[in-house]
Amino acid sequence: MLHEFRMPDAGEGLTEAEVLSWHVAVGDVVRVNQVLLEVETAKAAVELPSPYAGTVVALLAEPGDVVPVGQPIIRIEDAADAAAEPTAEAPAPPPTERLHEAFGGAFGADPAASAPAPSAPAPSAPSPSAPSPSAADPAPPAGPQGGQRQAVLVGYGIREGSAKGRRPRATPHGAEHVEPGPPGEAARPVRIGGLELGRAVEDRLGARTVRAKPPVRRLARDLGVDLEQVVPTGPEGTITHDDVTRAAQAAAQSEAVPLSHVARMMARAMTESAFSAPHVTEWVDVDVTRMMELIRTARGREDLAGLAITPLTFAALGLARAARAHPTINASLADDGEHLLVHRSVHLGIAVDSPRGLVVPRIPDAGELDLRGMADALGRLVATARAGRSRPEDLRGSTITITNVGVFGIDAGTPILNPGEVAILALGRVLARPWVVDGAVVAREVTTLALSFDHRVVDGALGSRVLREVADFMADPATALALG
Amino acid sequence: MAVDGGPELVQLLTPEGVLVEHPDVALVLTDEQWRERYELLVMVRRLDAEATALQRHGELGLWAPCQGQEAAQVGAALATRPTERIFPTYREHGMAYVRGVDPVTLLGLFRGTTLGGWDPADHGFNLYTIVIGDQTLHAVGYAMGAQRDGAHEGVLVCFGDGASSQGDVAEAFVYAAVNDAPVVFFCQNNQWAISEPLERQTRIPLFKRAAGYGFPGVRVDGNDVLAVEAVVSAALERARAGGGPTLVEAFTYRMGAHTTSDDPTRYRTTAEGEAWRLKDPIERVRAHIVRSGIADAAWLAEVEGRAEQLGEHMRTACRAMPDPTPTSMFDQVYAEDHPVMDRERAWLTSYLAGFTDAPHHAGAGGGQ
Repeated sequence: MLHEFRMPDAGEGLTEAEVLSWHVAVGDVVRVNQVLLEVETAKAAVELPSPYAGTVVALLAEPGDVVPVGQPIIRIEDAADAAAEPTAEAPAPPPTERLHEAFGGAFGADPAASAPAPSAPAPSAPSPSAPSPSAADPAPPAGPQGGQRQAVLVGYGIREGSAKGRRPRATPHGAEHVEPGPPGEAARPVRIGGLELGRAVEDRLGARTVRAKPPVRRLARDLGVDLEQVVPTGPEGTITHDDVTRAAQAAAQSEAVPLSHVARMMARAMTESAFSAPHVTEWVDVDVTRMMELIRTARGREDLAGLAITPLTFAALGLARAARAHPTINASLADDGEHLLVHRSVHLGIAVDSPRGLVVPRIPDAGELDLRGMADALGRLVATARAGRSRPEDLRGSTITITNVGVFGIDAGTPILNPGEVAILALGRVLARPWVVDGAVVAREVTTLALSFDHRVVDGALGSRVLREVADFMADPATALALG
Repeated sequence: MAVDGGPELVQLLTPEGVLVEHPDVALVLTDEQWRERYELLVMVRRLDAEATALQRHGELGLWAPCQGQEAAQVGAALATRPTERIFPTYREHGMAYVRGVDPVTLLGLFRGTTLGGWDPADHGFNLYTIVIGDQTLHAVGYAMGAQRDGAHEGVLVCFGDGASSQGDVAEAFVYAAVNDAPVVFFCQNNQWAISEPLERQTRIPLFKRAAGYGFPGVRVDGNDVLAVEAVVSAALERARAGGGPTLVEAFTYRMGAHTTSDDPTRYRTTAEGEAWRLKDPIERVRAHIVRSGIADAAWLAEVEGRAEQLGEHMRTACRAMPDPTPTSMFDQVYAEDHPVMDRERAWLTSYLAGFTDAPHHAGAGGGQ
């Protein structure tokens, strides 16, 4: 009978293991509990003993392969069928010898010496009694030890196709790699203890062992420190947390600055957005001379004193109106990817450079605001955010966003969407530039608007229409406000 | 690193297999008893090796190996009378074997198909206790009960060097001391509490802690099956006679991993393992019985053959072990029928019956 040995969960709840080396080859006759291979998991390097006696028909993984728990790693043809052929050259070892094997050599014998695996290096010409894997595939093992028996209860864990577990290192080792890896390779314990079943006397006594507790190893991995190069100062030659930190500082050409909460949120949000929503950015230059005149007029009016009426105020008004007119741009793609959540209200997010970093507080129901209302809301929102006092609820739930790069003296950019939204407008600086009016070049106050949108939801026609409407509003806001 | 047990270590059989005398402790075995002890040690090591392998085969979720501690466990269990209760940790596979618990039964717990699997009353062997040190309190309570029954029997409770730092163990010492409870605290000091070495648990030898509680403590060579049996026998005799508790520290070594999820090569030196390997508990008995003609090569081979059979028995039975039915969890909560359990069992049964593949839940759960 053909048996498949599946990668077991050698720890508790591991999802995968890396094959370090095979101790057997195709054609070898193996005994129950003879060591077949060594694997490394997130927790330990362990030797896997054979559950079956028989002839090795196929090795299904190479050293260096990371194999999910539950995936077959070796095929063994049952001894009962294969017995006739190999007995002459590989007689079953006497009980004493098997005991030495199983008992980890505590009886004084060296299993490595007493149990040489008979090598039959002819994988290209399988023996008649060893069917090819493909021929054997359609016949699943039957009987009480059959393949159905992959209970969640036992050491296989729950199968989850491509679950990715934490692994101690990335670089595979060859079969005979017992010496420390080359400098620069991630830290890896060099295994010299012989405390796994079947290995009694190690041949690695001479090797230097890195001694460090798992958290220290973790730290070293995170900091990119090679533990082999670290001078230990801990008890019994152990490497301490401080040793690793010192080594990292000594090696560091750059300083690792911990990210603030806001910065971490920004990193996460921007990554999420940039790699989930296909961005398209369009931009347009706008002659905003009339808008600037209106702003200057407003500043002279006593009844408007205290209100910050700026280009941003008009951009916000223009975008809120456009979004109200074109609800598809004021929307989110549902998690199922099959629905568009069209928001009934325009909650306008404003990207603000606060002392804690970039935050995006929102103006609720911005589509309902007039000039005075918008200026008032913007002024309070920006002041609160710059003081670092935005409430968490103010920083959530925007439906479309403006980022004002003009205040930094910049013309335009390609803004990245606030996650969950489908459009964001960047407002550039207002600058006097040569502009053609009625066939003559004159100096006009001009700004640049850039609109990024999620092309999964918003097509170029809609994006262009919205951007054009904002531009038209800002070109002549007085008329637009007066006439609706 | 702790390899040498020091001058106060009670030893009757040296690592070289030579019988030595001790001023306070003596035990003489017949040839048959020597062979019995040797075979027990071999079988225990074999069952432990097989279970470790079964975990690597993917058949067990976990196993806590006892390799290296066979003499401590076999010797202490043999010192008890069959009617006397043993309270194990989760590593006393050797004691379970001496008490007649089929190793396959132990596997159920580590395979996740049973919650313990044997009736403590059948074997005088309590269920494995995973919570570190808890069982010392259970044992002291049990011993105080025996004391009040006038039973004149001792109780043996196991714990490790790591558990010696637990509050439960300290409380158990206090209660046992002030009540003269007939209990023997049997500490298998295997030098490592997972990755924590003994020097992080104590500034003095563990057996000396007993003095602070007001009862005797003794350190015995835990790899010397004869000395362990002798020392624990004396301690139990004292308990039966109303003399109160004793702390026996069996100085030994966990040759394997803490559990199959542990990699001891990350925190122990190979040299330490090699030093302890020279003190192997089985090797010294074999040297003694071979040298003194108690056993010959043929008999040793027979024992090894029987050990192989035990391994095969475990392997076969483990793979064929049935999954429990979901409703079986209600059966063990109360000794007798209980209306709440009946109600919950009925609910779960009807819930399970609502699935299209429901029929197999109603059966005995062969899982095939």
